Amino acid sequence: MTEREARERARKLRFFRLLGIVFLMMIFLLSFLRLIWPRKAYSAQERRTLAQLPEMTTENLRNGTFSNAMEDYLADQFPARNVWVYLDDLRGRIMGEKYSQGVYRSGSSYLIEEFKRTDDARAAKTTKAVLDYLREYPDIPAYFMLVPNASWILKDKLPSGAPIDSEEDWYTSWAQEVKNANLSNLKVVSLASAFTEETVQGKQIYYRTDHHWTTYGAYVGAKNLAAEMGLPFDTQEWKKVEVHNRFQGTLMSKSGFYSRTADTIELYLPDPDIECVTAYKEQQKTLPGLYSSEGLAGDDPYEVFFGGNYPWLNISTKAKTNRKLLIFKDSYANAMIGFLCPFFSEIHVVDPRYYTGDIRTLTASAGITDICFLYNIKTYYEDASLSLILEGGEADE
Amino acid sequence: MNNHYKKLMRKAFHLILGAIGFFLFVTLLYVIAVSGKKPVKAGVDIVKGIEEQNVPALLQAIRQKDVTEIDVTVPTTEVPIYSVPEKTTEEATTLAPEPPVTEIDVTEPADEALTQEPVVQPTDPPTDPPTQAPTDPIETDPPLTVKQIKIQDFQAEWNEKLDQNDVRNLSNEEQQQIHAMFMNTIFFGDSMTQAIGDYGFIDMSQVIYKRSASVDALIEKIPEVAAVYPERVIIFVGLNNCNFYKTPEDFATAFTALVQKLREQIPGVTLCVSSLLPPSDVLGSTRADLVRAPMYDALLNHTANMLGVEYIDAKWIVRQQNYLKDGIHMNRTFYRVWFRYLQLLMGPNL
Repeated sequence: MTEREARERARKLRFFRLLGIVFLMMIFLLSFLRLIWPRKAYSAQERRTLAQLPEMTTENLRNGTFSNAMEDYLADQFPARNVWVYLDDLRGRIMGEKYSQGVYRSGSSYLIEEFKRTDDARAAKTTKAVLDYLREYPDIPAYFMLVPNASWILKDKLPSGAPIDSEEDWYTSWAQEVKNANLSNLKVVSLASAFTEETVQGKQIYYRTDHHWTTYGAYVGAKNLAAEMGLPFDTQEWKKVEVHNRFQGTLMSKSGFYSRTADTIELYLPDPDIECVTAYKEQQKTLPGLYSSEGLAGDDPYEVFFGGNYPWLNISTKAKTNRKLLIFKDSYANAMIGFLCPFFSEIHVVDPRYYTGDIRTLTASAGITDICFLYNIKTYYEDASLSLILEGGEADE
Repeated sequence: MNNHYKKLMRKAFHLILGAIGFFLFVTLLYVIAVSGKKPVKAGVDIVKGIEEQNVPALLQAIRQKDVTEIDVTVPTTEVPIYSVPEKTTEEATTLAPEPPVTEIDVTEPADEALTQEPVVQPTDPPTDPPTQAPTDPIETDPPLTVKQIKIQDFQAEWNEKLDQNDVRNLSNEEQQQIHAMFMNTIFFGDSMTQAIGDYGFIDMSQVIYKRSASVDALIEKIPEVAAVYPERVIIFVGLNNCNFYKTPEDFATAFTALVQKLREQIPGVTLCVSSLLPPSDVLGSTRADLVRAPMYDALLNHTANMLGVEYIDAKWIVRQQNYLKDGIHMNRTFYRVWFRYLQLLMGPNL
C-alpha cells in the first residue's frame, strides 16, 4: 500500500465516521427535541386538528390501529413541523412542482382549485330536487345562480395542459337541463361573461390563495342577480372598508404552497347604513349586523362574514320593502348577502350542509316572496346535502 | 490517532452548527413569509362598531314596520296593564331565595310532614287580594264578549274531541300557521316545554328548557333566552315546583323574580305562562306534595295577572288517558290541542 493509498483510505474512513456521528446525532437530537417540544392540538397553517398520542389497548394493538395512530401522531407532532412543510414547499418550487392536493400553482401567484367531473349523476339529482321543489311554489319567483370558479374564469392562468375538466361544459349542459324544465317562475343568472369581462379589465374576482370570490366578485354577482330580481341596485351607494390586507386562504393551507402572496378583504357597507340584525336560529343567538370581528381575527379571515357557515340565519333589515328572501347557499353567498340587505326586509339563509329542519314548513310559514339558490359550481356539483333536504318529504311529528 | 479524533469531532460539531444555522435561516424565511397575518385595525374597529350596536333598539326599529303586517299583539283588553306595585318589586328582589341547584326530581317524594298541611287548606288564592284581578274569562260575569264566546265554542268543540279521544295531528297548514305565528317566540320552561320541541311541534331553535328545573333554576337560563331577543316568551313549567317550593307563596315569589328578570334583560318582551298542570289521579293519590298543584296554579294565575303576564289556562285540556306513564308529563294529544288553543288565543281570529 502506497502512502497515497493509505491517505485516501484514512480520508474515506474519516468521512464515514463523520457520517455515522452526524447520523447518530440527528437521531438523538431529534428524539430529544421531540421529547421537549410542546404538543399542539391544532395547526392554524393547515387548518386541521393534529393527531394526539394514541392510547394503547390490547384491542387496537392487535388490529393495528395503534401503530397507524402512532405514525400519524409522530408525523403531526414533529418538532418545528410548519418549517419542514415550508421547506418542502421551497423544494417543490425549485423542482417546478405545480400541483398538490387538487390545487394548481399558477405563474401569477394564483392558486386554482381543480374541477373534476367525478359524478354527473349526483349533480343531476340535486338539480332535479331543486326543480321539483320550485315546481311546488309556482307563485314565488326563484333565481338560480351558480357562480363560476377560478378554474373556469382564470383558466388561462392554469399550467398548460393541466388535466382538469371544463366547468364551462358542465355548466352549459346544466343550464340546458334547467331551461328544458320550463319553469315560468325560475330565472337563471349566469355570471361567466361578466366575470371574464371584469377580469380582462384587471379587476380581481377571486382571492389568490382562497377558493372564495372577493367581495368585488360578490358585488358583480349581486348586481347581476339584482337585475333579474328587478331591484334598484344602481341607486344604492356602497362604502368600501378594508378589513384585512394579509389574507392567506384555505387553498394555501390545503396545498402547502406557501408564499408571500396575500390578499385584501374588503367589506362593502351600504351608504347610508341599512341597519340589520342576524338571528342565528339554531345557535339561539341574535346579533347586530352581518360581520364577525372574531371570525376576522381567527384562522380563516373569510369568516368575517357571519363568523362562518350556519344552518339557518334569519336577517331582519330596516328596509321597508316587504320582500322576504329565502337563500339556499354555500359559503360563497356569505360575501354577497350584504348586497341584498337594502332590498329585502327579511332574508332567511339556509345552508343545506348543516340545516336539519323542514324546508317546506319554513318556506310556507316565513312568508317568502323570493327564493334564490346560490352556489359556486364546484360545491354545487360535489355536494349531496341540497337534494337531501329538498327531498326530505312531508313534515311528520 | 487521538488528535485525529479531535479533528473529526470538531468537524461533526461544525456540521451540526451548520445544520442548526440553516434551520434557523429557514425558520426566519418561514416567519417572514407565512406569519404576521393581522387584520387591518381601522377595519376591525368598524366591524366592532357594528357588532356593538344595541340589539333591542335595532329590533324595535326593524319590527315597527311589521306591526300591521303580522299581528302578534296579545289581546290586552281583559288583562290589566303591566303595573307592578312598588312593594312587590322590592319583596321579589329581596326575598328571591338563592337557588340551590335543584337535583330534586319530581318523582322523589318530598317531606311528608311539610307537605301534609297545605293539602288540607282551601285552595283560594292566599294573601293580599289584588285590586281587580280578573279571574278566568269563562267564569266572569254573564255578558260575554265575542272573544269569550269564541273561546267557549273552541273549548266545547275540543272537549268533545278529547273525550272521544279523537284529536287529529296538526295538518300541514296548521303546522305552518303555528310556525309563522311563533317565529319570534321562545318557549321557555322545564320538561313540559322540552316536549314541545321533542314532539316536533316547533323547531328546537325556538325552545329553551332545563329538565327538572324549578323556577329558580330557570332564572339562570334567562341569559340564553335574552341572547335570542324574542318578541314573546311562553313559559310552561310543571310539577317540579310543587316539591321544590314548600309553599305556593315561595313559588309565586320566584315566578315574580323570573318575570322581572326576563323583562329586565329583554326589553319590550311579551310574556305568557301556561298553567301548572296537576298530576294524574293515580300519581296524585300517592304524592301529597304534588296534589297541591292546583294551589300553586291558582297563585300562578293570580301572580301572572298582577304582573301583566298573560295566563293561559290549559287545565281543561287535561284528560287522564293523555298522561304519560310517569303521571306528570302529557302525550302528543294534549299538545295538539294546546297548540290549537294558543293559536286561537294569540292569532288574528280573536
